[in-house]
Amino acid sequence: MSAAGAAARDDAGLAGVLSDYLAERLDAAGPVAISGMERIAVGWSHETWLFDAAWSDDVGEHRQALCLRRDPGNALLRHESDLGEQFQVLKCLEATNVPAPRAFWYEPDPAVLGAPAIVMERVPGECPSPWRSAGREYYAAAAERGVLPASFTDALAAVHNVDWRAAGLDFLGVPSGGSDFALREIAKWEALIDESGHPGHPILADLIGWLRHHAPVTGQLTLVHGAYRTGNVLIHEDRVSAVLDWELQVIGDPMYDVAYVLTELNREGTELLSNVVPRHLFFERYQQATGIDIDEERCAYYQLLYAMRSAAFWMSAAGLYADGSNNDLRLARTHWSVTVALERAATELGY
Amino acid sequence: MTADDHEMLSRLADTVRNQIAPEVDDEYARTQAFMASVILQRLAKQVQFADEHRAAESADVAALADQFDAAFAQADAAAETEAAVPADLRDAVTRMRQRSSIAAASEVITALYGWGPSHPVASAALAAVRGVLRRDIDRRMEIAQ
Repeated sequence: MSAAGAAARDDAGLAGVLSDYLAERLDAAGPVAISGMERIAVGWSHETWLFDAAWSDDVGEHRQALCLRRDPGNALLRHESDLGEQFQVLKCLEATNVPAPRAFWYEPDPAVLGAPAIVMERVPGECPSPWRSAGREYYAAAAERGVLPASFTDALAAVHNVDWRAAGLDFLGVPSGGSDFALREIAKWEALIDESGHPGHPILADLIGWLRHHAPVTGQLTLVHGAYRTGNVLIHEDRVSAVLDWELQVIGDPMYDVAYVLTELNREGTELLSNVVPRHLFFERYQQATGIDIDEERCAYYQLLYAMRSAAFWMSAAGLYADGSNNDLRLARTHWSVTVALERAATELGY
Repeated sequence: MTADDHEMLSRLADTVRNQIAPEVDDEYARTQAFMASVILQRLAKQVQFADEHRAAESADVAALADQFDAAFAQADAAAETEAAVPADLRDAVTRMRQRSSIAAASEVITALYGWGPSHPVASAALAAVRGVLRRDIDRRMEIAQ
């Protein structure tokens, strides 16, 4: 690794490396001042820093709030969430109505910023965790005010209304019709399970067999976010300012996202979908905005596919700790989360 | 491991949770300490239930294999059986009995889906397997929760 890359592995050295990196790309007249660096995600997924950059050029002085996402190579879903693909998706979304951060640069060479990385716009807003009581209180209060439920629904509708071919998103892969979308998803998560080295369990064999046997036919294909819920959207003044976590997007059945909104897994102790939207409002507003009828039978199928995906996530996470790739004990603990996911699958399969 | 091991692991979990973790200033390291405590608690339960769960698993697998053998004999004898019991299913059941392990039921399930889960014999067999898997996952949940 280069000296710059090595320095960038150290939090303290990263600001200096970023300053040089940005100065080159911004044609700055002098050094780019980096301030307010804050690391906001540790351990699970990509490393993320927020910071401000200030520089001057022939035109004048500039200031830009930025976000750096870096792939340490040992994160959960590392094979499913390539930063190069994320960058390309964000670039494609710039010409659409989907609220998403503008991506400025993708740096694949780990010698430059310490690991493959994206530098993107830092969109104003906050992202309370729906898994914490403070977050749930935040969303409940926002639901009372009534603006965020509509905005949350509209942002998903915007994702599904994207003309994905015109936007250039067909590079994500296009299912061939019939049951191909569901079968591709099953194959993707099965590959992750195989790769995890986890011994598995016969409930998983049953679940996969059932999913293959009942794979629904997909009519309309849309852009699918893959993990649309509170906690994965940024909120500013009660509106979704950006849809985040573009890691699992596919071209596929919009009911895959709708099922994720409807699932009880993404709300604890509330009837509000994803902790924020009344069910009737979501149904009415989503269907009106997209012209797509919500098919609850297909959604029920995708809930089971999510049970498989959860099991695959946890197997992969536990495997990262088991094989020494990652020392985060939160990953080790997910060894037992596999059991919880399988128990849920068994219940949903009717036993 | 023994019952004493279970108690030792359980005490370690308590010590890490109540005495070590709260003293750690760094947030990430403190979270790691709490996670270590949770993991030790799970391992304690795993040791505590190991013998009981293993015995229950062996008994369940043996009973399930017997049920399959009876169902196969009935299917072989029935003139109206639409399709013979597939060889891969018979082999999978044999291996499951030999290994005396729930894990080996995965092969049985794969063979059942290969046969066609709507076939009456396959459907009944899948229901029988699911009964065993339910008991197994309930036992595992005693540890995971």
